[in-house]
Amino acid sequence: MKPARFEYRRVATVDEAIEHLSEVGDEAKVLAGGQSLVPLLGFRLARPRMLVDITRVEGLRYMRRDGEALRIGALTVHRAVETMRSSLADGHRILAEAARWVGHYPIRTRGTFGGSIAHADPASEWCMLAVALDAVVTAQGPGGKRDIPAGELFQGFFTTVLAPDELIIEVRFPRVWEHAAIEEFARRKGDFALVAATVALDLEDGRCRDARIVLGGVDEVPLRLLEAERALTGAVCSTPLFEEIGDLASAAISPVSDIHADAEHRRELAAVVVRRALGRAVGGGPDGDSRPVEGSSR
Amino acid sequence: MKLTSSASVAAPPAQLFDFICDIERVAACLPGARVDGRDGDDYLGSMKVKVGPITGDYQGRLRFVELDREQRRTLMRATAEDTDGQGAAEAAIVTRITEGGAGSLLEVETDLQIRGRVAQFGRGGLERIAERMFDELARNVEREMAQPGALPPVGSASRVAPAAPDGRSWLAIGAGGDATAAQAPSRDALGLVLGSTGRRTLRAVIPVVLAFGSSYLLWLLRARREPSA
Repeated sequence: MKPARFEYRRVATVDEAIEHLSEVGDEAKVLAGGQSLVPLLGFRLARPRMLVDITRVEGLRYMRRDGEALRIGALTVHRAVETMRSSLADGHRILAEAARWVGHYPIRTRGTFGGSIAHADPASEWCMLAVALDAVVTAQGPGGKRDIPAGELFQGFFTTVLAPDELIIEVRFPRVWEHAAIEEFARRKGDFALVAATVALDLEDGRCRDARIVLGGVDEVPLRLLEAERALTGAVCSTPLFEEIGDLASAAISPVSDIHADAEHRRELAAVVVRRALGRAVGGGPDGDSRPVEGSSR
Repeated sequence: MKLTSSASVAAPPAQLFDFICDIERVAACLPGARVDGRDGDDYLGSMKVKVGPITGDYQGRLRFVELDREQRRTLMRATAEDTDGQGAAEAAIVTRITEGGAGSLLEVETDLQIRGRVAQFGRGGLERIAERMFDELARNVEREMAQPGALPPVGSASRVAPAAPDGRSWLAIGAGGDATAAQAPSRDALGLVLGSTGRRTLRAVIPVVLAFGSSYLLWLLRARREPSA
């Protein structure tokens, strides 16, 4: 299939992009890396009137440390995150690790961080990490910039609070997490995860002081598991505890059945990926296995 | 695929039944949907849906196969097709109204078949979106029954401000109380995706419209990252 007819505007600046977006409104789509949008266009599931191509906009491809914070420009490609140098990654290694799960290599060299966040796929690694790690998304519109906590950004399938004339320009991960891990299960390499988990822990003498547990692929948006986090906070990390937390995660979700996996299977997977992620976050872990499991990549 | 839902509506059963049978008023309670006319026993309708970048423009027809006023039960059949060929849907919808809850208890069973590209890429979420759609629909029905014309006016075509303080996210849903107002041409259903406050409340349904919009199939859709997949 070929896309339906659309107008195409390649812009050089953020302001120029916003101008077009303001003019056309809801019927315009921003083209960043195009790795999700272009297939949608090809299948004519998306039929925008105008594409605003921001790939040539200068100044949005960067990763910077700002104290503990890591700031990622919206047009930074996944591959750049995957290969960021260690001085940047220090305390944010989870991001480089997560990048390996994003699609395939060619996708990672073109798809962008900001584009992935704006697309708001519920199984997206970046959306899940953004929610788990309290990221702050900076968007720019005709009225200037505003900061949106990732926890408030995602509203539903492919849907965010961004206005049609707003553009994500930066995503900021405000603090380091020394003990964080991502784990996923997908049937084929490069597929969207049936279930994905991100955990981040603050540990002190083997005791968990603070915890974040977020699941992707089980709901319309990345799902933070507050109850499981509470059960973990203050407890001494152990294999039985992690199993218990996995069961809590499984009980906390109400996934739907589809052609890829039924609800029961997703619930079981949730327990498994959460348990594994916890094990890896504290180092080694109950499974004694820190490699992606066969058949569970992407 | 079978969807079952129920909602408690604060109105006497007889009154609710009459409302359900008035397709045009029901359609007015569902964002993006409208009744375009009649063709014999068939109601012709259309519905625009928009979920993020995915849009669909579905047209179809619906008819009452059974309408049992004594039992307050209806059976409707609906078919709809995207105007650009992205998919098609058929639905059989049974509604039952009994006394109970806040006045009436409305139960709806929908048996839905989806075909085409949309179905091919279908992936999780339909049920959840349908639920939310029902919630919104039920709330709008309740509001409309309590105070005809109370629904928000048809808006400009722009997108919903998702962070509306009251959590109400429909934008363009119109229904100025009568069917004509509901027929404004450019409504979209973006709100379907956004409103979440109602999720817990009524799980209602007026599937009729649903049928027109069987298009919500779209929701299922999920872009694959690999076009060849």
